[in-house]
Amino acid sequence: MSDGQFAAAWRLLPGYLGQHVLLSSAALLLGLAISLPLSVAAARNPRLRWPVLAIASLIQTIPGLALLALFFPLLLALSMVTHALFGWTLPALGFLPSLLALTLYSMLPILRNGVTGLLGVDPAVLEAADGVGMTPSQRLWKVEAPLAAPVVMAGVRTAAVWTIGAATLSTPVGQTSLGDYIFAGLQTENWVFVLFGCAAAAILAMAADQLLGLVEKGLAMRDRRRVALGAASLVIGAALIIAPSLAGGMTGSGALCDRGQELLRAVHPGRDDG
Amino acid sequence: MAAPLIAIDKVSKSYGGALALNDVSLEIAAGRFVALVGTSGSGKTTTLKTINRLIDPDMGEVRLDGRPVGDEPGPQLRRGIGYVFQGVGLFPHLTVAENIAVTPRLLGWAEDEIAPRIAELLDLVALPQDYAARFPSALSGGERQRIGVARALAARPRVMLMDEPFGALDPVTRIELGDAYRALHDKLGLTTVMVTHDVSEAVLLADRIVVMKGGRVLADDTPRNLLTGAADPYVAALMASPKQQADRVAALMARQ
Repeated sequence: MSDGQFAAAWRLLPGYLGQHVLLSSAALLLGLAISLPLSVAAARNPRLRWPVLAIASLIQTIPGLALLALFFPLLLALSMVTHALFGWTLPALGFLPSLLALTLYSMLPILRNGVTGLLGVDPAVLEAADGVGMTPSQRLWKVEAPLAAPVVMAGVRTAAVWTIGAATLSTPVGQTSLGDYIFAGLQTENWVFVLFGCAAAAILAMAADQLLGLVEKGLAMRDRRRVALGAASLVIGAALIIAPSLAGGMTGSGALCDRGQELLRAVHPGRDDG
Repeated sequence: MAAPLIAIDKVSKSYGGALALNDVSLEIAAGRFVALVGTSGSGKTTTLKTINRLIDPDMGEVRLDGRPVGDEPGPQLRRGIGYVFQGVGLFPHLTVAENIAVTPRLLGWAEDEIAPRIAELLDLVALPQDYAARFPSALSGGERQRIGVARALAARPRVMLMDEPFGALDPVTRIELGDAYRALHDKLGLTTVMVTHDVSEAVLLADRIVVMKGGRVLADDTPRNLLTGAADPYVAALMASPKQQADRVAALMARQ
């Protein structure tokens, strides 16, 4: 029976893994897009620094599952507003709430390290950058960013591992992920599934951490090959994993997704989203 | 009489209620080497920085070649002025060559102009050509400041601003680099303003010495005139200090 379960788990892997990587990488990229400019602003402006870091820390204290679940009522409320104003509704379950919650979750490590990295640049080097005639923008891109990069990358690594781990909690809000193994396994007492899900998520997190570590080391040692190798492996690896999943449609394994919907309907009778 | 190259005209600057510069006026003729001398807090660095707009005055005007420096955006102005300071500030992630080439690149020089210019500057600051590929971390303090000077001279500025450039170096290197820089100043026809709290250095290198205290100019004259008789007692005491120290050393050596 164990063989059959393992084989079943293996068959589901491409779909779950693809969705998981898609969700995690989207959240991490969005987190980067928000946190990097925000850390530049916070590093430049002492009055902005404390509120920004405090809010990010506060978000971190909310347990992952709670944060994900929180977006369900939030998006429902927002959906009512957008419906009233523009006539369109937002999905309150599935990819969107998961993406938003995970993005928020990924922000703190990147913000903290971004600010620390930028503030850690030698003031003499900054004075020299001004003295040779760089504009503030040139100073940021040519001097501050390269010098802060190793510290920022360390933050990105932490954010990546946390996001990959927290993404397993997206199952109850209707988004397929490696967490589907774990939740389904718990419900049906299928321990092979539970272990498989845990192992898959852990291995994915470790692989991402190692590859990002390669990029971090390359940045610290100013070794372009390491950076290129790490970055290329991440991009190509993610693309290869996500591609089959996108070809097959967004919802992945229908049966387990339905199970998730059943759970939610049991908790929220009378709601029609799904 | 020719108009001064640099004119500091009734400049004042305060920080949080404290007056760092109090109605300072100075004129620096082209080709001159002027030393700004004084203790910490005298306003000499603040004065220097108003010339390349690292600091903007609250009142008054600074003019370069007749034009107010405020007319031009700071970064563009600074690309035409060499700036060397105590912390050196070489970019650690760039090679020596890339450090030197920074301002020329910002100005859009062609690559085939930059390479020979780097070689020329390494010669000018008496460093071997193979230093071009090294990183600043591989250089000694004196070598780093030589590159700092090379970087400041790269885009052929007319004016060099120096803020205690040799202050972090040992006495032997300080003298060596000071003399070497004076030779460059003469050879290239530069106009140099140098801040220093080392009176001996000012006396030996500068054409004019400006003594500042508490944000005001106390004296502005040639080293010889200041040494032989200054009206202000503070200035007199300051100018006498190198000789006093030399006399003490000589007495010590005579005793032995």
